[in-house]
Amino acid sequence: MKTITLAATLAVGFAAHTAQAADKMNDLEIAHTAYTAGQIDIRYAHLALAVSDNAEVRAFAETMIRDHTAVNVAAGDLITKLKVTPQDNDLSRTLVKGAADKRAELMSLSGKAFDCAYAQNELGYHQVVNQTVEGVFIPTVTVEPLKDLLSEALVTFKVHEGHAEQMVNGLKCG
Amino acid sequence: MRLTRRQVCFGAGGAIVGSALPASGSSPVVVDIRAFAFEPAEVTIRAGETVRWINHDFAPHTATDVEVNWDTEELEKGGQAVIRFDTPGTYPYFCAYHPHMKGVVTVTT
Repeated sequence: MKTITLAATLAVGFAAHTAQAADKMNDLEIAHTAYTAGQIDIRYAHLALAVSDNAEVRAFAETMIRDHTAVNVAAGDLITKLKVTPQDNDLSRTLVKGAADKRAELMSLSGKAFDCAYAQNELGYHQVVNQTVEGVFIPTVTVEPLKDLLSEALVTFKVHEGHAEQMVNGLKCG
Repeated sequence: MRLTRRQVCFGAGGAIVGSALPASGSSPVVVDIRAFAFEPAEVTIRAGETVRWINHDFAPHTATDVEVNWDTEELEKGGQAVIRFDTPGTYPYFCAYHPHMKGVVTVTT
């Protein structure tokens, strides 16, 4: 429970920063950030598959790759259909920078230390993303198909958050 | 949207995957996969009848027998699979990618 509390605390703090950065974003910036967030989690998952020997962690990572790839393919299809180009923005850059730092931290770990750090990061990351998508992105976007896509993607991301919480508990990271 | 169709005959001898199966004579019972749940989670059919799973989620799913005797294989969004059940019994299944997703097919005589 301690680990969940820590992850939740980190998530809340980061979410406040993220919500601030997300303020006044337009649809194309939101689309860019949502896509970027998915790609970041896919990269975390590939790292987990390269480092971890834990079956539960590896299964979770494979699910992240499969599900986030599917969501991003749908996002790409929508972008093509709408004939628009997502716009890079401060929040996307913040996420990318934060993810690079986290990957560097994770790459210095191995064994259970890696598994716990990966699992806790997945929980915190999905908490932040879900709060942002639900509380900022969906209410903000004006294009209905993008709103629908984000709403449907949120269903997937919330399942991931629950799965990550189970993984953290199962690893007994203490 | 990519549509896939797969037919599987499941009987006492296990699962046989193919496309030239004889029709059961009745429409498949449909199980929609939506928001990470099988809807309905429990269906009852008679021996020789079929169940059709249709995935409406972005995330790919499967319907996989808990004893792994039959499996729809991966269903992408819009994908579907049909499985025929020839042997009476109760067949609990789950999604191999998201194991909290569970359902049951009951086959009567």
